[in-house]
Amino acid sequence: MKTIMNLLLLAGILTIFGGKGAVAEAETSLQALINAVPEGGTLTLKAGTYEEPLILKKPITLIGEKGTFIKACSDQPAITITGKNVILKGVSVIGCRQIPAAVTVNGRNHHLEDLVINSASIGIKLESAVNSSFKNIEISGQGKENGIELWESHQNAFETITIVRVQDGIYLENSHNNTLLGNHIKESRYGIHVMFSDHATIKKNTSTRNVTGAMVMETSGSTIEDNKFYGNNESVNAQGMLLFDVHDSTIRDNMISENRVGLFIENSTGNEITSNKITTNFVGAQIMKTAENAIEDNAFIGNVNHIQAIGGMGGGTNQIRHNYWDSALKLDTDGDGKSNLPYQADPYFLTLIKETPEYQLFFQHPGLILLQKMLKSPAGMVVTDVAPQMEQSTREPLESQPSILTGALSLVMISTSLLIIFYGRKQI
Amino acid sequence: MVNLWLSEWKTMTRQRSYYTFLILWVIVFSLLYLLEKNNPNVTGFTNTTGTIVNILLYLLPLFMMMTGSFSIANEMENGQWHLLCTYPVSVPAYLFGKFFGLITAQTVVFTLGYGISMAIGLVAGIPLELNWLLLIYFFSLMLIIVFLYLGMSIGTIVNTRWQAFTVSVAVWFLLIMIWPTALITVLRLVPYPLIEPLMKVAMIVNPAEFLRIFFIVQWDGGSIFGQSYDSIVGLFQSGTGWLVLLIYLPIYFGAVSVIPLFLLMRRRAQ
Repeated sequence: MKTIMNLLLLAGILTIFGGKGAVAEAETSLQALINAVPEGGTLTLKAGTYEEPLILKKPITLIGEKGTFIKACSDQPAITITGKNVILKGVSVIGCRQIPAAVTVNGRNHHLEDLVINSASIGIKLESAVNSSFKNIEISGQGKENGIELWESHQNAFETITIVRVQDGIYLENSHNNTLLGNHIKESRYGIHVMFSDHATIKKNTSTRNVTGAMVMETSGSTIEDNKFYGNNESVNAQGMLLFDVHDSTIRDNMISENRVGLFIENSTGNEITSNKITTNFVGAQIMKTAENAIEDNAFIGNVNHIQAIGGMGGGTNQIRHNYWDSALKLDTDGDGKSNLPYQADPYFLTLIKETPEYQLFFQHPGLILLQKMLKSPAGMVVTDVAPQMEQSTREPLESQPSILTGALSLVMISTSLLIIFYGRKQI
Repeated sequence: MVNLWLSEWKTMTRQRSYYTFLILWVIVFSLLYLLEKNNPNVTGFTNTTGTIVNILLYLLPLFMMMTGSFSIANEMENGQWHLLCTYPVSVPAYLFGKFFGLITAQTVVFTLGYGISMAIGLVAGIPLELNWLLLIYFFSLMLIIVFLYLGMSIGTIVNTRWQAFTVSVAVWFLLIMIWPTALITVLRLVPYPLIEPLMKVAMIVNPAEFLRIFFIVQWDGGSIFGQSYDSIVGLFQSGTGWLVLLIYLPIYFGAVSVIPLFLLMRRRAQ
């Protein structure tokens, strides 16, 4: 009944551009109205809740007024987009668990903007979608399915999308040349998950409080730049960014902070990992079986353990230099801004826990100083930065606001203990 | 017991050496805070936290065990204990009176030193987070209490101060310095599936380990310990975490108390 009422309302505001005449008669279903829109036409939806799955297969524009909801609980996606040049704007989608996805997209040159998707299913699923763009979308789920999923979809752009509580925020599989710009993903399993997808551009995204900020696997020629991956530290498998089988990619200017492991690199070659700020992680970077990567000009600050590397490091095929290590002993005798003392990190702990993961309990144990001497790795295994940076190149000013509470606590501590000592000395 | 408590406390405050602790804590903490001036956010489990935890684990257990064991061994050596035996003071009253006196003395001087360092840190413009500071403070207090008691137990076993010193250092070396090395060596001899349960047992047996892990979890660093300890980390992190500590400590004290009470009673009977 409600739907019919809405449809009656809708019919009143139905406008068609580019068509020969206006068709504004009450129809029995929204789909019929959509079907009636000619190619290049626009349909504006009146605010309200529409409970029917929609299929957009012609190049039309569908715009929802504020408060337009599309609800789907059948076995169909709430909105199916195919063909080309479909524009969808201003719609909220509510989906149930059983639908395959809240929105599915294939075809080319579509544009989706200002959507709110709240669904226990996949948020947006792209199958063989090409050259489409997605902007200002909010997706929230229940942690079981992916926010945005791409299969064989190339040259798409995702911009300012917020994703909360899904499985993987943005999942790419066999999808090349996609761009992810300024998206924000939190409280999910993996923020950004790249599989078998080349030439991805991942820029200015934020991924926080996930199991892993960005899981980048089996890719080459990708660019990961200016992202923030922080606070991914709750899970025992948490990382800021994981690179596995990544080749010839650029990883630059990222901020990787407060993660369990900041940057995890395995089986990867030919990457340029430069100018990243890797700060206050439990382990700054963990590198395994990699070769021919350049790790340069990064800043390692306040990590409990800066860098650990095992396997394949022999022969020095990774170029590690000019990084800033806050704990390094630095001495610059020739004034080139680089220290003449190399920074070395012995991966003995990683070697130890690789054999017996239970020994992770000894992480940062005070007695490790002794153990380190006993388990000293051979010279080829030690990570060496031949010329560490003397000064941190990109330093942000620290905002230091003396806290009143802390001050008060310190005063209370001083005065109370002084009083007690005084009392102790005076007492007969 | 109250008299013993107060007298112990009074004697401590009148010793000059007592105030060297104050200087030590002020220097240690002020330096640690000042060193971190250039680092970003001093909060959570970072390099700073790790360093401070380790320095506390080096210093506190050793000093507290020495203080605790000396306070008993000294009285054995100079005859005060024999004098006390002529009074109607029960052994538990003696032990716990002394214990509370020592705790009061050491926590007060630690609090004072900590407070002064905090003030120095604040004046120097280092952004120190309250919650983080409190956790370090509580971690230190727990170490002080636990190791004072362990030290006093050592004091009841030995006969002289020299013995008290050597045994304290040996116990410190075992529980702090060589602990991972020793465990790894021993665990190489057992079948692989036994390693995990034995590591957990070892964590409970060694109070320094228990406290270290408990507090690292409170700093949200628990995930670094890996899959095997996920349930323990979860427990410590949950609302019942502090309850676990509250249950652990009395059980630990109870277990340790058996030796000193037995030995003191036997000595008294002699």
